[in-house]
Amino acid sequence: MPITTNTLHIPLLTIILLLPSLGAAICWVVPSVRLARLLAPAVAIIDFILSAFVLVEFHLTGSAWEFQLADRRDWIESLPGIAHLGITYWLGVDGVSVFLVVLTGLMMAIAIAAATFMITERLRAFLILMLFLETALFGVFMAINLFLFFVFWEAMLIPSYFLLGVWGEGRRFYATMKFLVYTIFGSFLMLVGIFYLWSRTGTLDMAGPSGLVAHPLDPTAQTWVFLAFTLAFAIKLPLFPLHSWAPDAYSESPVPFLIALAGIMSKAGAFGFIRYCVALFPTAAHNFQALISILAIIGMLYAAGLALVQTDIKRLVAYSSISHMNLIVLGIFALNATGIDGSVLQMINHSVIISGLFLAVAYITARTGTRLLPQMGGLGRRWPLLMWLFFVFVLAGLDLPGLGSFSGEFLILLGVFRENAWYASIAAVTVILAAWYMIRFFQDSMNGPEKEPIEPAAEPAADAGSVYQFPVFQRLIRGDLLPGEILLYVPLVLLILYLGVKPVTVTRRVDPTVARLVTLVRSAPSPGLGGGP
Amino acid sequence: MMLVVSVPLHVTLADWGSILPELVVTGGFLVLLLADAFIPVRRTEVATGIALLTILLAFLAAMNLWSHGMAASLYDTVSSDKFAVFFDFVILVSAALTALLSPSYIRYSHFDPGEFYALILASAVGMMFMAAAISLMVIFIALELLSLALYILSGFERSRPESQEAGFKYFLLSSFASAFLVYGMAMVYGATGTTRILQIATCLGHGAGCSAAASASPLLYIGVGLMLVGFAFKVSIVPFHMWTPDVYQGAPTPVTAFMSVTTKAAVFAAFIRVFNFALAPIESHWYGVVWALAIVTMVVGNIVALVQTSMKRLLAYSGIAHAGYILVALAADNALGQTSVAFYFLAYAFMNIGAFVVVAVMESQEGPVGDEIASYRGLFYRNPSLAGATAVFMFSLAGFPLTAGFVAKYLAFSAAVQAHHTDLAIIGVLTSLISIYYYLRVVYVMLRRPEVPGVQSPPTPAAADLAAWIAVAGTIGLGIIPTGFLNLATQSVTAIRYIFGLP
Repeated sequence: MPITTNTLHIPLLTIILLLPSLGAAICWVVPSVRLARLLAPAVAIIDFILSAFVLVEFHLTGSAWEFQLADRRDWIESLPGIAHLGITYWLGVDGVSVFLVVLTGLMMAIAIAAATFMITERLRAFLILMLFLETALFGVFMAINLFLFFVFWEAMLIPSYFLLGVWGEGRRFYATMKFLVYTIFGSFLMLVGIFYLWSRTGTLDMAGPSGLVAHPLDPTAQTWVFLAFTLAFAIKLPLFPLHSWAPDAYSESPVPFLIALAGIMSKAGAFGFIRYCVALFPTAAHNFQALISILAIIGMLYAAGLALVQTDIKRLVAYSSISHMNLIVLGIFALNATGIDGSVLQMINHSVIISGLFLAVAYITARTGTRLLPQMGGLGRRWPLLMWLFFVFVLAGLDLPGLGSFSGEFLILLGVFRENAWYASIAAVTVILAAWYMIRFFQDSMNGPEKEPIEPAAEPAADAGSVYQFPVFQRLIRGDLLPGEILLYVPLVLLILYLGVKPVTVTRRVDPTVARLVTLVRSAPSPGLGGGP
Repeated sequence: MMLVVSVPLHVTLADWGSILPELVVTGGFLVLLLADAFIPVRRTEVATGIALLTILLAFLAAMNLWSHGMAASLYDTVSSDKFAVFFDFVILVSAALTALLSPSYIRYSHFDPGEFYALILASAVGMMFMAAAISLMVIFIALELLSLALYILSGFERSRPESQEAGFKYFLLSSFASAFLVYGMAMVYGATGTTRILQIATCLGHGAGCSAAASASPLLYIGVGLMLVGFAFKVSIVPFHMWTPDVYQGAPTPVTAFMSVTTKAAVFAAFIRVFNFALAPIESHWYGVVWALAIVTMVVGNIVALVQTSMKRLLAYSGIAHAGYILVALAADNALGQTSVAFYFLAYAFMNIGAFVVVAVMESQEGPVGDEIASYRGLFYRNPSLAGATAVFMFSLAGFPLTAGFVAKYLAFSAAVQAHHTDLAIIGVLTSLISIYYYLRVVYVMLRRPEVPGVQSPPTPAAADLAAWIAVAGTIGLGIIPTGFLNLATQSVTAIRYIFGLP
């Protein structure tokens, strides 16, 4: 039974949650765009520093599953004399979510800083929406009431809709609608699951003696609710075969939003698997272990295979992201401590690496005027700084030992191996594929014969955007990386190196939560026959 | 059977007090009418001011009634309980928002403001009586009162054939439905021997003074069926919805805004009193029909809305779909369901009238073409604040969290789940999924770059701007901190359940 504590006596999580929205409101009223342009990243950086405090204040827990820094307020818990709705405003972090909160703080600070020079058109609106999105993302990771979680889960979509629909590239309408229809379909089925949970237990709180974790559903009922939740999270991830919205959405997104989308929002899906699917429906999770593992393996191989043949570098990175996300699911559904530890570690790594790669895509596109690999070549000779920094992310993307992602993937594969040696062996093939497509990406763009940049049309299109808003940019960047561009890379590179050397910083804190989660799954009653595959 | 009224009529001051809000609005109606006859109220501001003042006074009277409400008055025909007063609030808020959005439209289409507001107030009186009625007769009279005013209002733009068509169509079809309703009422009276809702409930629950045969009488079931048709028509439930898109599109936009919320609210209040309270003992008999109607309404409303190109028709079908969601809460037949209906209408008043404010502004700026969704193209660039408000209303109607629409829908569906009608909740959620497409299409059209870049819309008229801001504040406020208003809804339902002896 999870308990909640707060040793800090200030509502730190609430402050972190609401600060970006407050910042957005201020950005709205300040007289000039210039001011908003300074204010938004400042707010995001302050919020990141505050979220780093969460990590500092997070203590290794004792014997219970503990949500720390908890903050509970009355919302609409019940309608007196009519119904108990079980809706509370209740925030808290456990060993898993604490890292996702810090990660959100960091990546959103980077994304918002990137937006200040990558977006030129209606920058103020973009920043406001990004700040609202940050609040929603924090909420998803902090909420320990299912209703509150759902509110933030859906609220993520509102700014996303505008960020993709207004600032997206060519086929943005198609991409936005596909993204929206897929994700909302999933989350609405989750809403039905939430209704069902509420009707059976009368509460939506995760923690506490009467919370949902302490009172699991009976094994047969778990199956359907598990599937409803799984669908929502699998779409967001995206898990094969529900991934088809992702390549379109990723390739049409403006890069600052993409950092939030691929870097954080996809992690919300993986986080949902750990926090809700496994913790609330341990029996069903066990029953569906094989099915989801197999889907994940197919997904990672399939996406990696597609990444091999992409000529559009943004799509290439998108498919590599999908491939890695499927690996994370595989680790979670090993359902042992090693696998889930590895998955959490890999969630952090993947977020950093994918953001670095998408930034590289933006940097390259802004210099070459194209996203197509065959039109590039010899960029390394022209812009060595870009090449070397890009190289770090390429190496991290192919899991070089000593860089962050190696330890994560190693732990995942180890965990999977303990469950099923076949799965692990097949999954390991993706490591080879990853090396292949990453090196191909690097070689074809950075090495080889130099090719001339594709100059934009002399007359900017009617909806001309920034130099970064491919394909409607007005001019190309001529030189090597600008100071601002390098600055964005610094924290990412440092984090990759640090996590490669000392992943134990993460695993030590994740371990207690995961250990109790695994106990929960292992001790769950088996439904006997006919529960699932 | 002859009914002889042998009691001398004796109406006390307390009786008058219990219908004070209705009396105030009636007073405002008379003042406007007289003022229009003697001192020609040509100035829109004057008429609007009188209407708003009346609404404010009625609101204060309603607030007073909320704290000193009384159960039954005027020979047990009207009950000014908190449930009725809550719906009074909804109707008055809607009327106020309508009065704010009207002036620019009145100037645009050159009609007589005095008569217009007088009729709005007259129909508001009917609605408020309907929400408070605890006698089938008063329900019918109130319905006629509100409908008569609305028939005229629908055809108020005499110069536009569509408006004439709307008025005539609404009149013909609605009178037909009224006939169904009154016929059903007569049969229920024949079966139970009373028109009072409380006594019907007692009778069907095999209480004193009523034979057990009443609840087995075919007369009763035919009557209930006919009444259901009548109610279903007025709140545009499929398959009795055919008039809705034509009337909503043809009627002047302020009238559509007003009737789309308030008629539904008033009729649903009576619908609840009759079906959830008077006919609660025979719930098993009507549940199946209401269940089917709710499903058909949600499915048809949402699917047909997908292909609309006119904003008013889109909102008409959206209104049909929302009637379906509310019917789910009514079918739940529990306290949570009734609370959610009450809350739903408060939320709906803000988000739906808000959406019509936008239509009215667009029409007064761009002419009849302002009703076309295509004309919203580039609105985010031409008029960012109006477009932002539209987006809020669309997201709320679609049921996104942090808006009133989400809380309302969540409560309605959780009522169905609590009553073990999970199937209705699932279908409700899935049809809401369909609705996202057409609501967000409007937002998307506004996001598209305008055909002629750089053109700014003229500024939104101040009163309409105020209405839009109030509606936005209500929509977001009810979505983020619904607690206070939910408590009011809870109290109102507790009060009515207490009267009927339910927990």
